[in-house]
Order: sequence, then structure tokens, then C-alpha cells
Amino acid sequence: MPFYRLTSVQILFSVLLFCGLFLLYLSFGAIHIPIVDILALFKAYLVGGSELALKEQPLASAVVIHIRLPRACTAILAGGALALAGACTQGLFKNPLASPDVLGVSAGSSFGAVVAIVTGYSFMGPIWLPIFTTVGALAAAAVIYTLASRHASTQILFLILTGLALSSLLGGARMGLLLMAQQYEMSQFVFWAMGGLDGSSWSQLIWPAPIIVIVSILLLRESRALNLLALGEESAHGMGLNIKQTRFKLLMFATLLTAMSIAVAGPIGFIGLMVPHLVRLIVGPRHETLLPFSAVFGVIFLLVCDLIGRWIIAPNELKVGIITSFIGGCYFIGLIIRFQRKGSFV
Amino acid sequence: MSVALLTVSQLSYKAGSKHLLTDISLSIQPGELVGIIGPNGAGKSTLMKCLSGFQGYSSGEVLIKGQSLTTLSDIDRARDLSYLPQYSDTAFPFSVMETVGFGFHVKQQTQVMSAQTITEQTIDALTLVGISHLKDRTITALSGGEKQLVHFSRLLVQGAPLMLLDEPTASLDIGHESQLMNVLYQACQQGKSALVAIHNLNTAAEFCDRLILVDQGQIIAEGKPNDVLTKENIHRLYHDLVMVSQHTETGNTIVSPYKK
Repeated sequence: MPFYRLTSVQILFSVLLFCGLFLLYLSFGAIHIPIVDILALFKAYLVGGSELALKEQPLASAVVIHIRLPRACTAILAGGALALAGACTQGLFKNPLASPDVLGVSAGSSFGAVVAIVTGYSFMGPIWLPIFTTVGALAAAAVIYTLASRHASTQILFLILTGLALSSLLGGARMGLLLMAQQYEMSQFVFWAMGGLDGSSWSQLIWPAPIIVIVSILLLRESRALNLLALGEESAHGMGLNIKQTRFKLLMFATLLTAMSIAVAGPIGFIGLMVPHLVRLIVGPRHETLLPFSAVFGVIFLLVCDLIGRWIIAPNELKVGIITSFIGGCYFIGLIIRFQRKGSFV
Repeated sequence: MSVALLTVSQLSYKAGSKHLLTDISLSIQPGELVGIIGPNGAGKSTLMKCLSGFQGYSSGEVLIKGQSLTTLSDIDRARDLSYLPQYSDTAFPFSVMETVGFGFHVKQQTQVMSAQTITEQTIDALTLVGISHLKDRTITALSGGEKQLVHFSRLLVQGAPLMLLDEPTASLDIGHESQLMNVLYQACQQGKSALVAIHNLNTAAEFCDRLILVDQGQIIAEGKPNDVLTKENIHRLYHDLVMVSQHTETGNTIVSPYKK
């Protein structure tokens, strides 16, 4: 399809899909809350605040406001942030297979989280985990940025090998660190490392939420720059783009979004690679549409995966990270088959 | 005499201990089409990168309309100077219309352009270059030569008075090469200027007002095509297996390879 024009039908479909899924997400679970009650709860909350909501819908108020809504918000923030970070990384490196996972930024961020867990900082307050994940992600990004400054490093194979090396290095360091951990910290790490939304709380979102929102808005403003960069740095320079500044800015945005999503939901794999890749096939490569649609579909994808995780072995739960990894792995194999048949990843 | 669009004074560029460009001085006047020629590895692309501002230089000065290149903002530079690198490629399937449309980036900084205006001007540029039939294709599905023509169209819509083109005809067949050079020639006739790094000496002789012969990062000769493309210069830089003759009708120098 040569021309990708977003129709109002596509936009309306995405919005309706999101709204329907959001209500289903809040309704579904061990205690079923009818959607009508959820809507009544929101109405009461808007009209009379938490007191009226609690009075009119006591069960829905307890379950939705304190358990499912923070979980849904975590899914929205993490899904949107990861998909945006992926779309940004792919545009930045002109590479449809780049993502914070593949490049090792996620591994850096996870390493930071493990340091926070093992040293006990993560239990001292909600600000510490985001700080550690950010520092870890920034350190990994600095390595990638240094290597990516060289011309050959934008080659697909080189990038993936660098990411693999970095991930392997940080994985080893993480295991080494865990040898020093106590039993409780070890169990916390295992729980965290599977990447999940259970146990999400409002307090966890205080710091990452505004950062994700602000960085996402700033990133959306760089859509045109990403379009120009996709034609190559020399061409983009010729069209008046400040390459160094833009590249640094975009890498910072992708890194911050990855770090914040890992801080709120743990390492959830493949969203950054898969969602923008899939969205590009539907809405085209222009970043003005690719970025917002990636964010929306990242959210939808994570909500669906978490719903599957909550449903598939109910009343128990499967961590959402396991579901995304399974689907992402299958998608990756599908991509390889596509490449063998068509000779292109896009 | 009007202010030169481009003035280069004693430009030198050193990578490590290796001198890639030494004491390059040149100027381009409005309306001029100037060719940079020289053998492989002579420093043509390095010179283009330095003049476009993509790559810094060790010493010397580059002035665009009398203003130093280093003090111009990126947008101001791109308004006066557009640049077509030797390789422009993307992994993403932008349509040809979109790719050419990105060339409006500079204009869109100062004026609101309607989608219709962009579409019309894009189609005009594609028609001028002779590739309007490609408008509905994706850039990733095109051949190397077709991609080069699309990027040339993008350069045209940018509308800068001075164009730097690094081997724009390298992957084109002779018909498209002539088409591209004619468009460039016409643009220069209408007041634009262009500095083109080019390998085909016959094309350079036919279309360029002046030629600058570069070897080992230095300017060896400069002037009218027939003054630069002398037997001595050609044999010195391109070995003896090249024949130099004169066109019987135009009097232009013709350079061609021959079998020993």
C-alpha cells in the first residue's frame, strides 16, 4: 500500500477498542463487577468524590479504585511507553528490528532494578526504583550511543550483536549480584523479573507516570525529525536537522520511557519490537501516525495480554511478561519466515 | 559583481595524521553549474561533506552568502544550501510522495503549507525529473537509480539557491543521467547554483560552466571544461588507458576508455 491515510474509521475503531477493553479489564476478575456498576462508580466519583462512590458502590469502589484501576493505569503507562520507546528506537537507528530489548537498554534498566532490590533501596520509597532503572538504562544507552556514533554501527547485524553482548554482560553481572542477595530479596527479584502488573499500586505510579506522559508528548513532537532521520543522517542534515542534538534527545526519550516502564511493571519483553513493527504495516511508516498508534496499540496489547494471563489459569494468574514473551517469540519467528519469503522485514 | 553564494578559503581537513583536504579555495556565483571531478579517493565526497556542514574541517573558512557556515543555524543553512549525499537509503517503506514531501521541512518552519500545495509541488518536481509514474510506489521497492531520482526531486522541492550534489548520476542510466543534468542545468539558468561531484567527464564537460579537478585532496586545475580536461591532466590522473578527443560538432572534450 503506497499511501497510508488514517481514516476516521481507523481512529474511531482504535478509541472504541481501547474503551471497551478498558471496561472489560476493570470488570473481569475473581470478583466480577458489572460494567454498569463501573460506569455508575465513575459517575459517582466525578459528582461526589470518593465518599459518594464508596457509599453508592462499596464493592466496586474497593475492587476497582484500589486494585484494578491502578493495575490498568500501570498497563496503560507501561504498554504505551514501551511501544513508543520501540518506535523511537527503530526510527532512530533506521532499523525495523531495533528495540530497547534488542539494544540492551532494557537489560541496563533491569540491572539497575536488581541493584535497587538487592541493596534494599527499592523498599525505602517509591522514588528509588525509577532512579535505579533510569541510571541503568542511561549507562546502557551511553554505550549504544558511543558505538552508534560510528557509521558502520547502524548496520542491523552490528546493532543486534552489540545489544546481545551488552545484555549478556549485564545478565552475568545481575546473576553475580544475586549471589550476594538474601532469601527475601531473591524471591522479590524472581517475582519482579517475570514482569507483571499484579500488586500495582497508586504509590508506584507517582514518579513514573508524569515522566512517561511528559516524555511521550515531547517524543510525539519529534515525529518529523524521525521521518527525516529515517532517510539517513546526511540527508536529514541537508534538510536542516541538527543531527547530534536530535539523536541525543531521541535516545534520551527512548531510554527514559523504557526505564520508567520497567520501574512500574518489570521487564516486559517484545512490546517495543513487535507493536511498532505491526503498526507500521497497518498505518505506514510516517512517524506522525506511527508514534500515536504504536502507543495506543501498545496499551491495547498489554491490556489484552494481562487479561489472558488473568483468565487462562483462573483463579490463579500468569504473569503478563510470560504472555508477551510467548506472543513476541512467535511474532519474531513469523518475521524470520517473512524475511525468508519476501527478503524484507517491513 | 554580486556576492558569491559559496566562498571557500583555504579549507583543510585532517583525519588523524592524514591530510584529506589541503588548502581548497573556490567560489560559486549565482547561476553557475560547477563540477568537481577527480579519480576515486581524490577527496570529492569529503569536500562535499565539509561544504554541507555535515563534517567539520580542520582549518579555513566556508561562507554561504557571505556568512560563515559554522555560525548559521541548521535551518538557515538548509534554506540557502541543500545537499544530496552519495547514498540516501531507508529501511522504511515511505511512499515516493512522502519521501519527496520531506523536502518541504525547511519551508514548513516559516510558512504553513496546505496538503494540496505540497502534493501539487511534489508532483511538479517528479514530473520535471521524469518519474511521475513512480509517485504511488514505495521507496524501498525502487531500484538504486530510481531512488536517486526521488531524492533529487526532494532536493528540488527544498528550493535552496545553492545545491550540493555528490555523484547524483552514479547509478543512473544514460537517459536519466541526461534528464537529471538537464533539470539541474535549467535550474541554474533560472538563477540557482549547483556544485556537483561527478565521475562522468563527458557529462561534466557538456553541462558544467566550470570544472574543478581534485586529486589527493588538492585542487589540481580549475576553469572551463576544455581548459581542465587536457590530455596532460587526464593521463596524469586517470592513467594512460583513457583516450581524449574533441567532439567534431560541439568542440567539447570527449574522454573514453580504450582497449590496450
